[in-house]
Parts: sequence; C-alpha cells; structure tokens
Amino acid sequence: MSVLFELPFDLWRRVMSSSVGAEGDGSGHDQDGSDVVDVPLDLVRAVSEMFELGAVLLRWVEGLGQPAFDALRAAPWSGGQADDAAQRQAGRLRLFWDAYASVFGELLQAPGIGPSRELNDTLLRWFGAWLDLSRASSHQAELLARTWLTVQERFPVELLGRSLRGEGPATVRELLGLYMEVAEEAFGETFSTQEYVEAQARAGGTGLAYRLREREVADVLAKVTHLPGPSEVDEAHRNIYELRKEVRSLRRQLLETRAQGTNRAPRPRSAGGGGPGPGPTVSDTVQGDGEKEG
Amino acid sequence: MNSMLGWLNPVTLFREQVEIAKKLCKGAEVLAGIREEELTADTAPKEEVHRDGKMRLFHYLPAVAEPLTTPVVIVYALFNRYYMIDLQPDRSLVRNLLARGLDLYVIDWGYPDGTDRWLTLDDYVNAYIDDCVELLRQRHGVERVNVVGICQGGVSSLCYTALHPEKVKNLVTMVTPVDFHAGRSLVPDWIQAVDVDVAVDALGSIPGEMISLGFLLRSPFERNLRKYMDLIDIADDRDKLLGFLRMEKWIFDSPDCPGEAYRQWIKDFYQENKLIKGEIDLGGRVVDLGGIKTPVLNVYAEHDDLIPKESAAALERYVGTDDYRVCSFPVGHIGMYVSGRVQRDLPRVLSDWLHEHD
Repeated sequence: MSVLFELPFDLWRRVMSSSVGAEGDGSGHDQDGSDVVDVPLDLVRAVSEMFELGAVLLRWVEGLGQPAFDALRAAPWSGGQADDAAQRQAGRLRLFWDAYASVFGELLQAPGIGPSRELNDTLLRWFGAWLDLSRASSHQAELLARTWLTVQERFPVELLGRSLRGEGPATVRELLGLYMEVAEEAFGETFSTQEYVEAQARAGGTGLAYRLREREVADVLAKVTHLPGPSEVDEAHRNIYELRKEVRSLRRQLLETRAQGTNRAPRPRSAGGGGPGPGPTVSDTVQGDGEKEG
Repeated sequence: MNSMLGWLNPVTLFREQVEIAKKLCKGAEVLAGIREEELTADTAPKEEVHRDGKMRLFHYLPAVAEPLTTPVVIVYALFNRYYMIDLQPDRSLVRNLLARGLDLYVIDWGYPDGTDRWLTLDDYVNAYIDDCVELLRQRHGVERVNVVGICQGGVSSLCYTALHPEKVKNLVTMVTPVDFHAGRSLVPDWIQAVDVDVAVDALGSIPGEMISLGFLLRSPFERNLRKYMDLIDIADDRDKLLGFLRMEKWIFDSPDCPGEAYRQWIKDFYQENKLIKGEIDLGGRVVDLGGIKTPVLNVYAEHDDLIPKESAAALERYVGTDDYRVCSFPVGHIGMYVSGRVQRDLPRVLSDWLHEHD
C-alpha cells in the first residue's frame, strides 16, 4: 500500500529538485558541466519509477478486474467454460467478494492510527466479520439456489411421470403436495451433502463471529458512555453463578452436619405406606434459599 | 380424474376451491372461539415441592389411594418444556401413569436466562437432580428412587445413575441418545460441523429459537408448510384444532439453553461421543455406563429422525446391568408422546415394569 504513495512522492521530489537545480543558474548547466550528466540520469530514474508505479497500479486494477474478466469469460455467450446455470450464478456471486477481498479487504486488515485507533480497529474488525458472514451466506445461498433449480427440474418430470401412470394430482392441494414432496427430497439430499454441511456451518460460524465482534463494539461504546458492557455483565453473571455454587455447597454441608448431629439418616419406609414420610421439609432444606437465588 | 394433468379439470378445481373455502370459513369461526387459556397443557393436579433458581420439582397428586412405594422422578430435556408428557387430558403420559398407581414427580428446568449462562451439566446432574433425589429419599423415607429420563434428560439420568448408583432403584430411558455417532440423521450430522465455542462465546445462553429452528429445518417443507396446508382438513373440528394449537405452542415454547451446558453437550456428547467411551467428566468424576447395575428399561422410537434408533438401542452394549429390557414403538420422536398407540401401550409397559421391580 505504502509504495503507492511513496513512488509518486519520490518521483515528484526528484523531478522538482532537478528542476530547481536546473533553474539555479538560469542555464540548466553547472560550471563543471556535471549537471549535464545528472539531469538526464534523474529523468531516467524518474521515468523508470513511473513505470514501476504503473506496474503497481496495474496489479491493483488486475486484482479488481480479474474476477470480472473470469466471470465474463465463463459466461455462456462467450462460449467459455460455463457448463450450467448454477456455475454461472456461482461465478457472479463470487465476483464481488473476490474483487473486494483483493483490494479493500486487505486494506482493512492494516493496523489503525491516531487516538481513535482502538475504536476504529474494533469497527473494522466488526465490518470484516460482516464481510465474512456475507461471503459465507452467499455460498450457502448459492447451494440452496442450486437445489431450487433441481426442484424445478425434477418437478415437471415427476408430474409427467405420475400423470402417465394415471397417478397425477387431481386437485391443487395434491399438486402442491407433490411439489413439496419433490422439494423435500431435493433439499434433504442437499442438506446431507458434506459441502452443504460445511457451508451451513461456515455461515453459522461467521454469523456468530460477527456477533462476537458486535459485542466488542458494544463494549467499547459502553465504556465511552460509562455503562456496563456485555463482557462486564457476563463477568457479573459468572460471579453470581459461582456464589450460587458456593451457597449450595455450604447448604449441603450444613444439612449433613445437622443430619449427623441428630442422627436422622433416611429409613426405608414399610411397603404400602401412605403419603410422604417425615423428614426435613422443603422449606427446611432448599426452598428458602432457592427463592433468594431465583 | 387421475388422467394426465387431470388437475387441470376446471370442475374438479372449482369443487376443491369451494370445499376449501367452506372449511376455512368454518375454521375461522372455530378459531375465533378459542382462547389462549384453552391451550393450557400440564393440567394434571400437582404441587411444587422444591425450587432452586429456575428449577422446580413438582409432585403430581396420586390418583390412587396407595401408589407405588418408590417415587418416580421424571427428568425431561433442557431444550423443550416438560409438559409434552401432559399435553392434554386425553393424551397424557402423566395421567396414564398416575392412573396406574405411580407416585410421580417431574423436574421443570424453567426458562434459563443470562444469569444461568455458566451452568454446566455437572450442575444439572450432581446438584439439581441430586438435590431432587435427595429430597425424595427423605420425603418418602426410601433409600432409592425410580428415575425416568426423557431425550436429553435420559442422558442426564444415565450420568446420574452411573455417578450415584446407590440412589437409583430403577432407570427408564426414553428416546435417549447413547451412541451419538450411530445411525443416520441430519441434526447430528449438522452438529458435527458446528463451532460450539464461537456459539457459546458469542451468545452466552443459546436461544431456544435457534435450537428450535435446527429441529424444524430437518424437513423444511413438511414441518413448515405441509402441516399448515393440512390444517385445512381439521380446521372445522374444534378438538382437533385445539390439539394442533397445543402442539404448536409446545414446539415454539423453547427455553434457552445455558451456554456452558450446551458447550459440553455438543462437544463431549455429540462431537466426541465420550459417553460410550467412558470419558464424560462431571464435576471431576468420570461417567462409566458399565457401572450402572440397576435395572434399566430402554424405550425408543423406531422411526425417530432426531435420535436414530441405533443410537438409543446402543445402550444395551454399554450398560453394566444384567436386568436390561428394551421396548420400541413404530413411531417418530414426537409420536412417543402423542401417538394413540403409544398412549395406550407405553404407560402399561412402564408401570408394569416398575411394579415388577419395586
């Protein structure tokens, strides 16, 4: 990235210094004639760096445009590589993300600067997570779209087949029922494939990662506004949980101590007895404390 | 009628539309007369006997003068509400078991929220369930109680029995996964690929809606479209419509799952299949299914697309008891609670077995 700015600056500096040097005596030539050689050399360097700059810019443009070229090449009218509608659709879906990732996506990963560095970085990570989510969702949507296409292909075949066998649907509901049957089967097949399982997991995982980044942003904003952030609340919940555990443990110890003291071990009740036998009542044991915990 | 593209017959189409319109009108009339209160499930009389945090232990009032000596505690799954076992009076496992002389208790896990995000399976098994069992031992003056675990609650019950064998007289597992890699089912396949650490770190407690969505997507058209289309057929029947609405309420009444418990459930059980390997660690103690010597009755559904029968039936290979019995029904996962045949046979099987082993 920096080379993009350094090169023209360096170029400008060198050309300007050359021009100033040239204007120094109004002739463009030093007494010893050395500048006669220096000026063309600078120019050669400058021209060479311009080419270098051009190459860098070309690489950027290529990064931005290559996916588009690939997609065009794969398009059906080009007689290219596309062999079905799903592939073309997939190519189009990936076009934006590939182009984006090769240019701005990389830029977003660079460290921030200035006093708002932390907030900016958090926001950028959040944005980056959103990009990942969008990309993963696109892939999942692509697989689902492919499945819809399969359903559209299979349904008329199934309808015709059944009709020829004299088992065609007689009502709209039966027709819809058949459509759903075909769709259920097609989606069931897709849902069972490893590709879909992975795509779904990736979409879910990136969605959750996005949520994590969202929490980070909320934490930063809460800190700025003097409010407890999600992480602090989570920590408080953890403390409450640990205190509850401690209370439960102490309560058990207390009951065991009481039981040992009064020798009230549970006794088997005789068969055919009536209702619940005596023993510590609920309020004696846990209900009271439980209410507090609830 | 069934000729090629016979559905294009305008007379047939017209008749169908008229019939649907009539049913919809009647259905709208019936629906307008139903109120939310009528969907109340869990109507068998009961009393709260214990509470700890969100968890409550209920005692169903016995329906016979002298119920079975050993009380039965039902441990339901964390992901759904326990009232599926008492959805409506004429389809109630609870009422049927009470009528057969069992003294029933049920653990209600409640609706966990952010403060419960750190609860682990160790807390559920060694604290909540153990507290309930301890209370029943004292309340009834017995050494051991009967435990009935359902679905994920069955796994908790297995762990509890393995860790506290001296407190469990008989164990019943219903639609309980044991070998998490056995059989083919979409949900376990999906779970294998889930990054559960990111899920828990990002969400804390896992939203019930998310879990519910996973269940619904395993057959998207059947569970999200066709059942509503078929509703037309029962829309004019008040009782059937009520049954449908009660089920609908249960399906979408999904509590959040505490994050740490969910993390362990997915990683240790589903992804690493540690239960059958004897590697589950709860509170520093290892769960060894081979250590279960109490009588076990394993009930599962043969067409379960959530918990494959191979997964449930695997219990026989790992449990240490000599008194093992299995009972299966030709239904799906939900059918285990609502199917007419199961409602007729399961209570008898359960109560006979528990009476035999009392």
